[in-house]
Amino acid sequence: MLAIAVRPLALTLKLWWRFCPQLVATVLLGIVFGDLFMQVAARAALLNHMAGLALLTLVALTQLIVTVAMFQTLLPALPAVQAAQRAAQGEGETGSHGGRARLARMVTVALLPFFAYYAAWGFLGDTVRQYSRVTLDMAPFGEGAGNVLDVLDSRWLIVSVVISWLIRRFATAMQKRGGSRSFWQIVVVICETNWIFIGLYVISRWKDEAVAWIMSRNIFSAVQAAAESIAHPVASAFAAPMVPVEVTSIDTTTRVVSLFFYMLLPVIWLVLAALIYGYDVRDDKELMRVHRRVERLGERYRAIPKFLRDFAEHFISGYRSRYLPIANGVRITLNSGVVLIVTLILGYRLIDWLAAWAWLAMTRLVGPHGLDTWQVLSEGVSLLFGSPFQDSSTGILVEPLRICFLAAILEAAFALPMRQAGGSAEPAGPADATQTEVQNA
Amino acid sequence: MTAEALDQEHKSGERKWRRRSLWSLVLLIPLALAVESYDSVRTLLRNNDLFPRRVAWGQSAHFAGSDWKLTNLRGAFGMSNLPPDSVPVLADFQVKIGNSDLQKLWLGCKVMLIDKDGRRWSPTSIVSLKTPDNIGNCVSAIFSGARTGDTLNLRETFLVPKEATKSIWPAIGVASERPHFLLFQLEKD
Repeated sequence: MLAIAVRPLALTLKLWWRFCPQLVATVLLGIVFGDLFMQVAARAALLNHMAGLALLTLVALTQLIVTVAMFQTLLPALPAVQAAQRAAQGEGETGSHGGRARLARMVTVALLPFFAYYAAWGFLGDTVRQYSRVTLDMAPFGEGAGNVLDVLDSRWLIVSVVISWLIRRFATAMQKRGGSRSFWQIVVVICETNWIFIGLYVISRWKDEAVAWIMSRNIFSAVQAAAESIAHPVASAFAAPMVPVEVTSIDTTTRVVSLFFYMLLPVIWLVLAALIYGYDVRDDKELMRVHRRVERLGERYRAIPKFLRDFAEHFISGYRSRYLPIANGVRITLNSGVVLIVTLILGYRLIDWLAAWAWLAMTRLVGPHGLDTWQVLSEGVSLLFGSPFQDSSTGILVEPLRICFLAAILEAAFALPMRQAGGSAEPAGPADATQTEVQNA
Repeated sequence: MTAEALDQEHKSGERKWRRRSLWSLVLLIPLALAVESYDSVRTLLRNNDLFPRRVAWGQSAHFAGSDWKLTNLRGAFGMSNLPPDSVPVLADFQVKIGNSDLQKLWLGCKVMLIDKDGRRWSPTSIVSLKTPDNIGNCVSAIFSGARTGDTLNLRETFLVPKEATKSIWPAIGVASERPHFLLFQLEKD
């Protein structure tokens, strides 16, 4: 059992030592391009708010590409993942893919889950906030440019989505005609990123508005009161004495909920890693095997007349081929054993914790300075250990280690003896050519 | 191609990329640092008096469109109601206005005293000494409507520890000249 926990840790260090320069260079490229795109978006926003928002997509896309590229760099050192990929490829894959097209396909597959993760953890809001701050810097008090985020509330948003849909259609047509396929694939990816980015942000704003509306109707307080009356016995509900804040404790429900989200983040990252390595199910057989009831559901679906199935699949097949991996990724993650999951959660959080302490140690090492001077110094420290105000995705010492750790966990999951014995799981390269065409159609 | 040859090729390819990445770090680390800290460095340079321009005693220096000269620096010893071991220090300047757009050029005017350890003191309002009508201070001069060729007399009052009075120099910084500032040498220097 100890071996299961220790093996990924040893592999993490091995991966880090072997690929450190490549990974650090990738993170640095991400930082440079991310900042560059942010500046370009802000400048474009001064001319046209919609164009600025469209270009902002590139900032988030840069982060995704950096993550995908880092995982891809590690692939040669992950024999179990590679073997599983080869096994799946041998089953029906045609030909090998060029490097760029491969990367573009992987980005397409990881696009929606990545952005969903991005939005759920509030990074989408962070990016938008950073963008509005940069534009405000360029035009103090909104002079000339006005509020660059006003487009988020306007109907013109639909125009933006329609334009990117048209460009995407054109790119798909060009791709079919056979021109430089990987270039058009990249255009398609950018267009899709655009509407996912805008869509998710708008949805999160609407969600806020909906929640505010519900709150203003006092429905929530009634529900909350009901929940509290169930959670706490009546005795504590009345005549509760004043309790000093340092003596109060956080109630169990809150603690459990925050513990759940604390544990969820590493698991989500592992799923993302699994997606990037293209854990793809060509058909849903393996997924159906999860449970007898699910299997029966699949059988029932197959019993539906073919024309009806064709009709339904016309709409869902593109998305099914793309997002079944998510379901399967979750399955493999949860199936890889409690010890491995615990190692994942603890290890991931340990890296975070060490990065935070390294940050603090650096502040002690550098010592006190004026605010403006520290602002400059903090940029240097953030470059090493990541910003304390966001996910540690920019620290050149932390991010490579994190990616190595996730890859090592995934490799350990694939190399588990019980998995090899089963031999039924077939991770594949990213969606194959026919699938891409289905998605693009 | 045999599997062994393929493996060898992969390994040499990886080594090549490792070497390339290592070399690229030489360029990428400073570049990323520059990109990240550009705004902070700009703020630091715009908001702080970092690089002194020394002005010899009795000389005047052209700064923010005018000619500045330190005329006097003296301690007002023997005052009561002050914190123990502290001394009020008066710094007098004479400024011959060159460019009269003071509201733009003198914005963020900051007069200070600096000692040999780099400690800085800003003007105080705790000590109120009588000043003649024709003497103002840096901020009031901005709105005095002075024209080109006029001469303004400025005075700032400081409260410094007694032990620091042996090695203090007056200095002046304005937003339009930052990060440079004037550091006036004394007669004894």
